[in-house]
Amino acid sequence: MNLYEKVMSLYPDLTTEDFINGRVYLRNDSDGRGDYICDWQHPDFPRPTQAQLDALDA
Amino acid sequence: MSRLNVDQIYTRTGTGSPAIREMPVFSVQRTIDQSITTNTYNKINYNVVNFDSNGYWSTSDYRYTPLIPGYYVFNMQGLVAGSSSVPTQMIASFYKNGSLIRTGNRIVLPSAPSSSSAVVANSLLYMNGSTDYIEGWIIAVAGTPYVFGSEVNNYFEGYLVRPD
Repeated sequence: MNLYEKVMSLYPDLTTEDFINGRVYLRNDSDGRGDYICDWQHPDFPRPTQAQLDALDA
Repeated sequence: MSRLNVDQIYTRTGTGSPAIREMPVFSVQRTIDQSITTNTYNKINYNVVNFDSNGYWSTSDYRYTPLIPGYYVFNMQGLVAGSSSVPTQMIASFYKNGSLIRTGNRIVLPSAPSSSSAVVANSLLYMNGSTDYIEGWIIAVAGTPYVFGSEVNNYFEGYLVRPD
């Protein structure tokens, strides 16, 4: 499960516009370090914690 | 009245603006597939230098850091395909100094498109000639996207139009 899929599993009501317009700003610098949350400005959903994201790997 | 001859235009004549021969131009390409993540801004690692007049393109960081200050035109195109399903939306964009600064056209396709699509971005940007750098990025929505390796479809180019 990639980061986008994890975020969507936590907040299934997020929309494509949230990701494109930067309210939920996911980035991959293509430097081998993978996807990460660059910024989170969504007014209704709080930024997930690393623990929440890690739990989805289990 | 002094006159400027053609030889002076093509060669540096002292301080001031660079001569035409020294005006930087570059063109790089992505020739092998690059996986990207859905709904995530992904930097494109352009792996082949077509030409780079002043050697400002970094083949390790995949970014252009011009050392002559001024206004530059940048163009990029990315061909996005899907390994098992093609994305339904995509946008090409420029990042200056690691931050999104310009986006290009946004392609919105019907659901379950069957073929790849190319997105482009063009912009005129000021570069300070020391620390400013520019990169090409893409975001794709849905599907299992990847940048299709193709030297004719994936390119990033730029040139100085007005020295500072």
